[in-house]
Amino acid sequence: MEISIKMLIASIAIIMMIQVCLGVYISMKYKKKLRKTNRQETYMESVQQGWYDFFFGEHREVPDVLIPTNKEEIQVVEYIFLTYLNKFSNEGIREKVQHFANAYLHAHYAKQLKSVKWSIRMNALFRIFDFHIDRLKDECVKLENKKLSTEEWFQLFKIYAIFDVSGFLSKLANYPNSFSEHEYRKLINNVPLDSFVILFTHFKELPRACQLSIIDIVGLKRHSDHVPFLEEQIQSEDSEIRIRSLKAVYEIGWMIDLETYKPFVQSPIWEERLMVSKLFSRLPIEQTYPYMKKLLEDESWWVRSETAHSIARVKNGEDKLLEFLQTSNDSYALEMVQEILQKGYE
Amino acid sequence: MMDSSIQQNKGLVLTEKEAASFFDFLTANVVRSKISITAIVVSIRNSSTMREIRDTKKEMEIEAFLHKEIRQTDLLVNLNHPFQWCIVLAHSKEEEAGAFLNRVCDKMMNNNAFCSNEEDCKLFACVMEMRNSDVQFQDVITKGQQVLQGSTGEGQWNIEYVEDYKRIEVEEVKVSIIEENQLFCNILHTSLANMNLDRFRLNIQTFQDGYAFIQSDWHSSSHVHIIVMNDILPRKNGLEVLHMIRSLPNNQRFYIFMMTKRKTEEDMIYAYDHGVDRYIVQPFNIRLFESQIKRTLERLWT
Amino acid sequence: MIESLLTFFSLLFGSFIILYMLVVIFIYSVMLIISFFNIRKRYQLDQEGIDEENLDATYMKPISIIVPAYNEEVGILDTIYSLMSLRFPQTEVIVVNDGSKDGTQDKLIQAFQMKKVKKVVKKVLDTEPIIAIYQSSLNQNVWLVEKENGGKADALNAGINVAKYPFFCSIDGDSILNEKSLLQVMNPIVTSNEEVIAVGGNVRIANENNVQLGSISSPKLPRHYLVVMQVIEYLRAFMIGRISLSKFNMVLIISGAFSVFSKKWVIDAGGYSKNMIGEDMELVVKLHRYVKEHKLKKRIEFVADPVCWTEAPQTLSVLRRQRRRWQQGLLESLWKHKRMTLNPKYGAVGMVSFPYFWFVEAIGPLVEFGGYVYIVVAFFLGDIYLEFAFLLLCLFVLYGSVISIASVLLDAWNNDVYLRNKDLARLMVMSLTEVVWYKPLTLIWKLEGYLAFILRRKEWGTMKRTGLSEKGSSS
Repeated sequence: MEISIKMLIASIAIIMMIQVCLGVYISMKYKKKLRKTNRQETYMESVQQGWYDFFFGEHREVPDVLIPTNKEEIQVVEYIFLTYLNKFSNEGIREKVQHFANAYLHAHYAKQLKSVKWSIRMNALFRIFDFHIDRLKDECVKLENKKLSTEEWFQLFKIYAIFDVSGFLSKLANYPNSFSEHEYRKLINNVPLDSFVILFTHFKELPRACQLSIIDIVGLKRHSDHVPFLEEQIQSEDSEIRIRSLKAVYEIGWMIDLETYKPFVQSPIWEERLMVSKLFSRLPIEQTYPYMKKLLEDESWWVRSETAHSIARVKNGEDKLLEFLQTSNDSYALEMVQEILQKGYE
Repeated sequence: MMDSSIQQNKGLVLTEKEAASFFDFLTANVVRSKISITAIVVSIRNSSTMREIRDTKKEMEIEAFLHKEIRQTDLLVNLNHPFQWCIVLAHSKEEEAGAFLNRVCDKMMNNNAFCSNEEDCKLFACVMEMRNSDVQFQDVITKGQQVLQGSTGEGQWNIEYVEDYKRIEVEEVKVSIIEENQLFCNILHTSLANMNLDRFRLNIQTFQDGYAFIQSDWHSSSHVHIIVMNDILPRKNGLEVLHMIRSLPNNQRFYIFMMTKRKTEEDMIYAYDHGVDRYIVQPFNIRLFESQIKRTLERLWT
Repeated sequence: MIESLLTFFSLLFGSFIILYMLVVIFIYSVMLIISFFNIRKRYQLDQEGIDEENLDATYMKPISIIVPAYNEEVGILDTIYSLMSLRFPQTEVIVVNDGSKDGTQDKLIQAFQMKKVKKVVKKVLDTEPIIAIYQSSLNQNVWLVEKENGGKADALNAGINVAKYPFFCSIDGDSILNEKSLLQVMNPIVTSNEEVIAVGGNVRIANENNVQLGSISSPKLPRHYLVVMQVIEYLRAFMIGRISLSKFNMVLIISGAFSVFSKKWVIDAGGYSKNMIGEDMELVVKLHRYVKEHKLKKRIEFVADPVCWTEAPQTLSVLRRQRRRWQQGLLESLWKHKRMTLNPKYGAVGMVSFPYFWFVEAIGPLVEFGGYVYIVVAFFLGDIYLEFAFLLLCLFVLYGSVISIASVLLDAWNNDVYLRNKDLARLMVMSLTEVVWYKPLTLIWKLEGYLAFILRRKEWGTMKRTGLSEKGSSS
C-alpha cells in the first residue's frame, strides 16, 4: 500500500516535471515563431516591390535578390505567389510562377515529397499543384509506389488533371477506391477546357459519381458547345443523370428547343418537373404558359414555388401570374403566386 | 430689355459690368458639376469696310434677335464696345457653341432683316470653352476681342476657336482600398499610384476593415471618391459599407468597385441594385482594372 | 466483529472508488493519446489551400444559419455581424426571436433595417406559431423570424422550417464565429459526399476578449478565475472526448453553440425535441438512432479547427444553473434512449459510446462525490483509512490536474491562442488548483442535476417551459 502510494506520488511528480518542461519548451517555441514571423515580415517588405515589377512588368528573368535562400523566405514567396495567383488573372503570372518554381523551388519540394511526415508531403503536393511545377511530375508518379492516404491520392490526381488528361482518366478509371462526388468535381474542374472532349469520349468508363460531376462541371463552365453532350445524357436511363443534365443545360443558359424538354412536364419525378420549369423561364411565356400553368398546380411544393418564381422572372410573367390568380382555384398554387406577386421577384 | 426677358422667359441680358459676378458664379460651378461652359464674343462689322457699323437702332435689333436665340440658362452680355456681345452658354462645350453660332448666322444672313443692302454686315465670333474656375470675365472678353481683331475671314461669317481655357485643373480624387490582405492591398495601392493620369491626382488610403473606413472622416470631404473594396470584410462587411455610403447625402460622388470571390449571381444583382458601380470577380486582370478606373475618371467630364 | 466488518466494507468502498478512478484515468489517457496522434498528423498542414478551394461556390453547399435568440440583446448584434462577414460562398442568416421580452427584436430591426415580408413557410416540423417574418434591407440574406415563445428547440425547429438551404447551422445568440469556421465545418460534409450528416466545431471561451462588430481582434485568456477554469474544462473535454470519439463515429455531443446538420436527416429524425433540456445532445442521439435503425451509412463528426467563441458564465449562480441543466439534459437523453446501451444493433454508439457516457459522465459524479466524502471522513478516522484517502487524493490529482495540464499543453502546441503573456503558465497553475475547489463545486451542481432529473421524471406533465438561455444575465 505504502509503496504504491509512494510510486504514485513519484510518478505524479515526474509527470508534472515533464509537463513543466514541455510548457517551457512550447513557450520558447512560440517566442521563436514570433521572431520568425517578424523576420518574414521584414523580408516581405523588402521584396514586395520587386515581385510587383516582375509580375506586372515586361521582364521575364527574375532578379537575383528575389530568389529565396532559405525555408523561411520560401514560405514568404509561397504566400506572395498564392496571392498573385488567387487575386489576379493577368496573362503571364501563371507562366512566370511556373517558370520560377520549376527553376528555383523544385529541389525544395522534391525533398518535401520524400518526407516521412504526412503533412509535409501534403503541403508539397499542394504547392506542386498551385504552381504547376511540371518538372516534379515524375517525382509524383514515383510516390504512387508508396502506401498513400486517400488525401494524397486525391492531390496526385489533381496534379495529373492539369498536366495530362488522358493519363489522368485512365488512372482514375483504375483507381481501386472511389472519391466522393465533391472530390470528383474538384478534379474535373482542373481539366483544361479544351480537353473536355477527351472526358466525353471516356465518359462511360468512369465511375457514376464522376459522371455526375462531369455533368455538373460542364454546366458550370457555360460552354454552349457542350449542350449536345448534355442533351444526349438527358435520354439516360439513370434519373439522377437526367436531372443533373437538365440542371446543367439550365446553367449554360443556351436557348433551348421546347420540343426536347416538353416530355419532362409529365415526368413522375418532381425534380425533373422542377428543372424543366426552371428551363422554361428561358423561353417566352406565350409558348410555355400551358405547361407552366400545369406546373403551378403541381403536387410538389418545390415545383410550385420554382414555377411561380420562373414565371415572375420572364417578360410579361407577372401579368400571366395575375391572369392565373383570376382563373385558377388551386388554393396552394394561389397562395404561392400571391407571395411572389407581393414580393416582386428576387 | 428686362421686361422682355421676363415675358419670354429667356436668358438674362446684362451689361459688361453686371456680367462679371454672374460669370464667376457659373465658372465656380464648372468644376463641381464637371460640365464646361462656353463664352462667345460676337462682333458685327461692315463686310466691305471691315469697320464697325454705327447705327444704334440696328444694334438694338440685333441684340433682340440674339436674345431670342439663347436659352434660358444662357447669358447675353452687351459689351461696352459697340456691336459686340458676349454670349455665355452654360452647360455647353465648344461643339455645341459652334452649332449654336451656325444656326444664328444662318437665320441672320438669310432673312436679311438687319443686314440691308446699303450696309452688308459680317459676323465674327470667338468661341472659348471653359473647364476651370480660375478665369476672369474681363480676361475672356479681352482675349476674345484680341482674337477678333486679328481675324479676317473670307465668308459671310467667321468663327475662331480659342483653346486657352480648356485646360482642366488637376483634380484631387480620393481612393479608398478596403481589403484585409495586406499584400494584396499594397499591390492595388502601387498599381493605382503608378497610373498615368493628366487631370487627376489620386489620394489613396488603405483600410483593413469596413469599420476602420466608416470611423475615419476620410469619406466626408466633397472630393470625388473611388472605393475599391472586398465584399467580405471583418467588422462591417462590404454590403454594410455600401449601404452606409449610399445613404449619405450627395453620394453621387462615390464610385464603388466591389471585389468578390463568390460568384452567385443573386448576390451580385442585389449589390448592383443597392448601388455598386462595378463588380470585379477575383482573379481579375490588374491592367483591366486600371482601365476601368481610368474610364470612370474620364467620364466625370461629360 | 461489527467493527471489522465495517472496516472491511469501508475499505471495499474505498477500493471500489480507486478502481473506478484507475479505469477512468486509463480511458482518459488512451483518448488523450489518440487525440495527440490525430493532431500530430495534421500539425503544420497548410489548411489555407483547402479553404481557398472550398470558397468556390462550385464545391460548397449553401447553408442556412439559424440563430435562436431569447433575451439576447447584449450579444446578438455581434453574432450577426460575425455571421455576415464569414468567408462562405452562399449563406442565409435566420434569427429566430423566441418571444424575447427584451430589446432583441428592436435592436435587430434597427441595426439591419428589417422590413416585414410575406413569406410562405412550409411547416415541416411542428412549432409554436410564427408571428411575422422580416428581411433585412441591408442584406437580403438576413432574416428575422418572430414567433411565440416555445423554448430553444422550438425556435430551432421554426428556423429549420424557414431555412431554404439543404444544410443548417445552429449558433447561439451570444457566440461569434471565426471567418473560416463555417467553411471548415462544412468540409467533412462535402468531402464525404454527404455521408457525414452532422458536424460539430470547437467551442472556445471569449469573455473579456476584444470583440468588436463580430470580430475578435486578439484572443487572450480571460482574467476571471472562474472563467479560466472553464477554459481548461472546455479544452479538456475537447481533447479527451470529442476528437477521439469522432474518429470512430461515436460522438454523442456536438455543442449546440456551433454545429451543422443536414436538414433532411434532422427532419426525418423528427427535428429538435421540445421538453428535453439537452436538445443538442438529444438530436445527435436521435440521429444516430435513426441512422442505425434504417441501416444507413451516415456519420456524425467533430472537427477541431473551426472555432466558435462563446461567453461563459462569470458568476457562481449562473454557472451552477448551467451545470445543473447540462447534467439533467445528459441524464434525460441517456435515460430516454437507454435501450441503445450495449445493443449491438446500434454499433459502436450502442456498444461503446453509451456505456462510456453511462460509466464516465452519468455515474462519474456520484463516484467522485463518494471519493471526496471518503477522503474527508478518512481524515477524521485516521489509521489505515488515511492511506486509502491519500491514495485517492493522488488519483484525483492525476485524474483532474495532470490530465487537464496535458490537454492545455496539447492545445498550446497546436494553436497559438493561449501563449501570450504567461497565459500558459497561468493555465497550468490553475489546473493544479482544480482538485481543491472547482471540481467539488461542479460535482455538487451535477448532483443537483441528478436530483432535478429524478424529480422531473415524476412531474413530467406539469413541466414549465424554460427559455433559451440563461447566459444573457451574465453579461
